Amino acid sequence: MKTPFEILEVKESATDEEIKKAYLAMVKRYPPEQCSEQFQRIRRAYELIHSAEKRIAHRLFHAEMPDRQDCYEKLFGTVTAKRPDTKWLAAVLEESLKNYRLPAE
Amino acid sequence: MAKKKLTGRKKALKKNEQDYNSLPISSVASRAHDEMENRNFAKAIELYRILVKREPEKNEWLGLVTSAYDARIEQLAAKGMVKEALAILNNKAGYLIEKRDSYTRLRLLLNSGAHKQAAEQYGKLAGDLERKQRGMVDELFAALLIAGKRDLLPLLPPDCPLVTHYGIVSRALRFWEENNPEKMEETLRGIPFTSPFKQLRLLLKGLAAQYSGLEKEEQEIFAKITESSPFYHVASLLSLQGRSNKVTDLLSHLKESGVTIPLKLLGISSKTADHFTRLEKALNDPHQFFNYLVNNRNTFGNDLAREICLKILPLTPDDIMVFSRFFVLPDTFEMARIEALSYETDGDIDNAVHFWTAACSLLKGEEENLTRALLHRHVAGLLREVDYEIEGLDEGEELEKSLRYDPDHKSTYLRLLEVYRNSGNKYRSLLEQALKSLPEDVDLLHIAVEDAISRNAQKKASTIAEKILRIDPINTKARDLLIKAHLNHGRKLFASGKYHLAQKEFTVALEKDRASGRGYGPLICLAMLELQQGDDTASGELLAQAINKGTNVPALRLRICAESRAAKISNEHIQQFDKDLRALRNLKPGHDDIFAMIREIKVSNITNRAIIADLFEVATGFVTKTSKLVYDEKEFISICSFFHQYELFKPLTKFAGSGCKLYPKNPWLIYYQLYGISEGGGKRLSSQQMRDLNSAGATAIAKGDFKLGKLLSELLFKVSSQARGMRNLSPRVLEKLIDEIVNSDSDLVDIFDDDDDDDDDKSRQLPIPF
Repeated sequence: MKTPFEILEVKESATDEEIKKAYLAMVKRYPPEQCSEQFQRIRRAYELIHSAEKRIAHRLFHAEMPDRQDCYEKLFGTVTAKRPDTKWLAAVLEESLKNYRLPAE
Repeated sequence: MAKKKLTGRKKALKKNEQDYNSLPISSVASRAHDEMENRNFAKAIELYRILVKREPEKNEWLGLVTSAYDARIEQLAAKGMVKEALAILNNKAGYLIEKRDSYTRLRLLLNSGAHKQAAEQYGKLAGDLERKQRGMVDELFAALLIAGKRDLLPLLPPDCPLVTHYGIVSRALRFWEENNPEKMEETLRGIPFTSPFKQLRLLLKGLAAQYSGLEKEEQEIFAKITESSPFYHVASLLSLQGRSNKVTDLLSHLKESGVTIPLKLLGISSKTADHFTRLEKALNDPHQFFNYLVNNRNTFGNDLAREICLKILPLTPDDIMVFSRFFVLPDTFEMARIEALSYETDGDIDNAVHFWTAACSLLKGEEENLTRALLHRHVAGLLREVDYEIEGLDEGEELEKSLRYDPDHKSTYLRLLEVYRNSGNKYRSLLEQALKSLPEDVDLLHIAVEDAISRNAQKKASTIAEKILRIDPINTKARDLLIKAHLNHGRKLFASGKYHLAQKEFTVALEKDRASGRGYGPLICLAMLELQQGDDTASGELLAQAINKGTNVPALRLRICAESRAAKISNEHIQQFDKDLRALRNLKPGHDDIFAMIREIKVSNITNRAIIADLFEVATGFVTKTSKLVYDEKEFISICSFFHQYELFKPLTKFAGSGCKLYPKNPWLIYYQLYGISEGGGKRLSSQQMRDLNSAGATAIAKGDFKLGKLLSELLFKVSSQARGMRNLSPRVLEKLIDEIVNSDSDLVDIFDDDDDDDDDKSRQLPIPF
């Protein structure tokens, strides 16, 4: 669902140079050794739009079902976890204890 | 007082007891053992009780009856029948009270949710627990207290750590609420390492690290909370929320852990959660997803829904009408693009290329030139994929059109040159155009050199090759082409009697060759020159040098014979060289020999079919030997392809024949064999061979090898027309005739116009063409 431009955080009118710069910045932020999945997405996005020809080809010939996570984020936004307070802790603990069993010897 | 009358189960038990009392002890014990094996623990208890009653002094029965009780308790607990399990535990106490029963009792109460009862009995039973058991029970009570079950506190012994440390924990939590993590941590230090709240302490410390941005520390702390701890799921959830705010990650984690936590606790509203479930299903199918978006367009916003629907429309083209009902249609170019892409996805190339062409025609302005070029290239690519012609469209033309809009596109030039390889002037003018656009492109320059060599424009070839070497000094292909060009030029000069100039060319080739240190071709050419000028000694020395450089004897001898013919030296010398070539038949052939010989012909650039045919005729003994070696399928096909190219039917038949023996189902080998036998279709084949040809064609088509299918059908036509009475039929008539055969009822139809009326003779019947 996220376009390659959105993944690299560049405008659709970005030049080759701007896209390359954005790609390198992203790789620095999500290095392959630490964030392999994210890096793959960034790499793929770059390969799809790094030249004018590639960008046009992507616009013309690309059609695929959206990625699940991208879809969720686009439709529902990201989940913002609230700062857990005592009530939250108690509620979550209570729920998780429902399935908790002390083991036999 | 009258005895109470026994009824029901008790009556049955009494009767059983009376029955078993009459049996020997060993039988009862054996029966009890069997019941234990079959997990009928209730029955086993009954029997062991009888044994205990009959032999009360025997400890063995006591041990066994308590084991049976234990097993029965676990059996009932596993079924969730906690009350019954506790009752059995009480019954067991009548026989033996064990310390471990205290853990069992607490465990059963806590696992069944009877927390209050468990708290009431805790004081009495906790002392019996082993250290590990005590730890687990205490930790669960600690979790229950934090989960809000503060009503358990007064039921617990006031001096137990659960109660005494609870106060400290409450204070720490209050500091957390007040957003004072430092005070919280300070307070937590008052919780001993052995406290029931130690895992909670870790949890809160991890949380503090998370909100301080100390990611590594946070993860390390959370990792210390053990999987068996009641705080584990909370910790892993908090840890995940610290690392990811992705909905999919949270949902996957919950699914994997099997824990049901209300999604609202994770910040996901129930409405959203409901959407997730439906969306999860819809994402499996473009049409379902499309419907989902349309049905929920008010929730997501019309613009967003439209944007996503438009993106997936090519995958579900039937929904275009639905799209038009709810959303504004895109412009005509987009509509054409969507149609084209959807047809392409469906494999309908005919319609796809027409819509792409239509889309292209809708583009306006010069700024769309690159788009036009891409569309033409795309159409050309689609036309290349199909094995039939689409009216009005041609791959070459599309590529040429693309060059009008994108004149510097190298791949297009390379592909076009392939398409027009055999188109003479068109090929040349295209090559010129390509080099004008991309004058320093090494791949195009290579092609130009090869083209010049093929036209015997050796000087031009040398010039271009030298240019490549200036651009790329270590380009070995250019170096080889340069050597080739000089050799060819030298041969030309040699043939016209200009020996001095020929020597110059051969010497330049030799110098270039020395630099790479690989070949012996120029040495052989110089040797021929010396021979022509009567200097046998010098010739002999040069040939000796060549032989020293060569690594494959058959290839070397073949090359010497080839060059001797190209140089048109005296027959006497040619025969001498031929003798050496013929003598190869006394050698044991190696697997690589035939490949080396073929390579030598290609490298020498001697393309005269008569010379090549003559050479392999001379070497026929050796070649026949090599044909009997074992090669893989690809190797056989590669060898046969060479002999096929030069129409050398004898070796072709030999190699293809050997190949067919090893790989009888390979249609290429069948084709080559029959091509060889029929000498390119000039001779008749037997009916069986025709049938083999036919079925090879069917195999080729089934495998999608349309090129081979075409070759086989062409051969079939040729050999068919060799049949008596059909020799001079035009292909059109022949095709019509074969159509009739195909459409006739019988499988094999006698179509030969024979003098005999032998209808039963099927030997001359044609098979149905595939």
